[in-house]
Amino acid sequence: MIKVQSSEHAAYQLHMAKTAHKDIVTLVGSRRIPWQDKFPCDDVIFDIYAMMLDRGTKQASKIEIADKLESMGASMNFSMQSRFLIWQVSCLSEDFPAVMQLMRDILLDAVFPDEELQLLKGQLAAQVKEAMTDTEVQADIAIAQQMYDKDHPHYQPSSVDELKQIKALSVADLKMFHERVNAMAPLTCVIVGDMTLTNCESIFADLGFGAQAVQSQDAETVKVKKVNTERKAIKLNDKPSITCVWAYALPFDLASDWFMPTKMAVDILGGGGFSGRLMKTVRDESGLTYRIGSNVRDIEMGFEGYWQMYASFGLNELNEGIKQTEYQQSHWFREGVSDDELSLRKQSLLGQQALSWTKTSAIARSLMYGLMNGYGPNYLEVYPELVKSVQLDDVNKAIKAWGIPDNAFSVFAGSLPDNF
Amino acid sequence: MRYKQLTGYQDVMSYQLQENGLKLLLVPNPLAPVVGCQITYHVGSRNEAIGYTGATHLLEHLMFKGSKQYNKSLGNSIDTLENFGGVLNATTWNDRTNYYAVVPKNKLDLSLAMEADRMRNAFIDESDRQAEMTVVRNEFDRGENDAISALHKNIWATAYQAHPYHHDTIGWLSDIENVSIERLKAFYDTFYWPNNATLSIFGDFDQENVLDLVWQHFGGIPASPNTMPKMYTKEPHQEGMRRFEVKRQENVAWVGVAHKVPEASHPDHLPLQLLDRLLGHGRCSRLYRGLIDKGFANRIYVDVHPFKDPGLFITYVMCSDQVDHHQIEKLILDQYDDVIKNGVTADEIARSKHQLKAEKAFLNDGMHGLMSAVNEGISIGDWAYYLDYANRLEAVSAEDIQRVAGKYFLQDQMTVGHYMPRKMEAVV
Repeated sequence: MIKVQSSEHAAYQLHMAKTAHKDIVTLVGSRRIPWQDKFPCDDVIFDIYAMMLDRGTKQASKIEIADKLESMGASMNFSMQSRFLIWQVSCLSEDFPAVMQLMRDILLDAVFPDEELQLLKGQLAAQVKEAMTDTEVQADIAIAQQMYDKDHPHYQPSSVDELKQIKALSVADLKMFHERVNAMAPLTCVIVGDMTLTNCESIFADLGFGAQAVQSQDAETVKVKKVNTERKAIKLNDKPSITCVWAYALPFDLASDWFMPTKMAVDILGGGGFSGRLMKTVRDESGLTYRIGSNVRDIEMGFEGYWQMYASFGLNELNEGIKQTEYQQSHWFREGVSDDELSLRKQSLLGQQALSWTKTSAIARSLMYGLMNGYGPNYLEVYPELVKSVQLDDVNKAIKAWGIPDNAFSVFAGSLPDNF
Repeated sequence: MRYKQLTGYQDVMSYQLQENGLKLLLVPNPLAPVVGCQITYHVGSRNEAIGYTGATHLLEHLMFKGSKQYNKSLGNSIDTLENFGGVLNATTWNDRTNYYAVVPKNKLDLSLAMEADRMRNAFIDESDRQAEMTVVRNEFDRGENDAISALHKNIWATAYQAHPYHHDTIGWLSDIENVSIERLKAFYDTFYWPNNATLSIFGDFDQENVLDLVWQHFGGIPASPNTMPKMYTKEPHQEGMRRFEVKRQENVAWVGVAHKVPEASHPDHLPLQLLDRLLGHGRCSRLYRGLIDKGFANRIYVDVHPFKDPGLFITYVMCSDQVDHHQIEKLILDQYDDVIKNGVTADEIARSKHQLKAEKAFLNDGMHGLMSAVNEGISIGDWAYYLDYANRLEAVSAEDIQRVAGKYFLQDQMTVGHYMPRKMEAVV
């Protein structure tokens, strides 16, 4: 078992796992964002904020930051995940203090230069235009709009609305957002690799994060909508592989007793690599698709989400592929899953966790997931217990409750036949 | 003596089974009780010809359909490794095909047994071909959905006319649909033998135990009865620039510029790889600063992957609204010309070399990066290539980079592709 040591400070928490890796460190950091506040262009401001952070600080320009990182062979990437700003840093242990200084400057002293914002807007606009003909992105947007109201962090605007908001966002908006973020709860950093907690504490003490005022946002669970059980076709030319998705609302969050049994049920239907039911039947036996599976999406502590089946079919296999996928789902709903299937899935998940311990980023991300969702720093030990505790009856009850075939919202995107 | 010991590299041991010529690499990386088991066959799409393009890849799919000792009817097919948390898959490319599994260390024996059984006892059955052909056809269609994939396929097909790098690894659609099971079986019977393969074991293992297990599972397989056929086709000298267009209903435009470059073993390839980094990797790279930072481009990929035979140095650029294809093409070539005329700076070289030092340290972070590095080295006939990569690039100088830019960025050796959008919107 990987041992985690933690220390708590006014402005940050450190969680350190020293591993057998030599000379390398991976850090995954998070801080809460004011996701409930109202901001201009609120469908895009969160992501653009994350993308703008390393494009200039009070101390250095974008190129100077990049030059420092690249000269150390280090990487630092920022992104948004619902209630959190998340970042991942990888570097040599010897460069860790210098990289942490850059991280500190970016988090606290980002300046959001207007010329950088204009460049980024051009790139994002191109990305959105590209996505307008991407079957998987368009299916995703259709589902997010069907499942969520605008106040859900996983709501997605239409491509047209997204372009409008990208165009309207200003530097002043980002600076206001930055002030609010910096007033939020402390940073959480998980550090994995060739480093000790004492070293980390010493490095962080020198960075000058200070004692920040802490504001937290406790909120009621953000719900999924009542879903229309409709079938939506998105017709795109020159897209011979058709993306098909069937989505089912899950009106509970991660804290619910429904979560693990439902996740296990969906995993048995279509999780894993080659061993999920959908893969074994619709792909292996019938040869109808290259990609098929099912998973639970967007459920976190405080956020409801959905589960989905997804597949891609060529035109020749489209009708039979849809028919067989829906048949497998109905069969799963009618018959449930067996004790053997559940035991194998548990064994597989526990094995996957052990395999992930060879990689610093996998360990760090798993620990961060536990911290972000209220499991504390012992998540690596908690997770096996969560898996082992799932009972067959609960899995089959979850299937009956949330897998009703007629409750699907389905989307089909690509070069669909005229009569589809 | 079961094994002949070959030259290793640092803590990697190299052996060859005396009986059948199977090569074996033992790559220790004891981070957790986990092992990686990988077999690389020296067969790829370069061993195909018209009529059976894509055969190597289709055969790779059929290799998952069962073998004499491990199959669905016995309830122990290879995907059962996933029941223990294992990750398994296979990939096919120009010069090689590899099969791999990362499993808990106590499943190494099983993983080796499965791999050994399908080396000579895979079913390769017509009913499986029929089912898997449509799977691969969907994989082909998925590639057709993607702009950069379509441009990439056409760049190689235009730049290479005689050599089999002309066709994409997945093959032409009509060949995928029509290749016979007899042809696939013949392909299997030609190339899937121990003396045409390298087995590599990674992670937390006991060396003596692994040597015993490999002998136990692979030692009884005979070497191929025939010598491996040589792929002798050489690409004729290109006699002038080539151009093409691809028009599809997309909203964005791409340009691809490719130049002929030598094979991996050629001493000029390493300077070309360092040039690739200086031009297109990271925000400090020349193309990023010259095109993206000036608003002319939205995305850039530069690629000069080393292959067994001569390949391509390719730059792909997604155009911004400010410029057309021809302007982007000129901007790319201006950057190339600057390297030819003025060379590169000591700072640029130093930055890249420090990146390589970090990359080398991160190679041991997890199993997949290390396995892929060894696999790609095997495919070009030098398994230690990427393990020793930082040292090899350390020897490259600024003068080397300027020289290879002048030698290979020649107009007559260039192929240019324009991916043209036919404007459209989604119809919902």
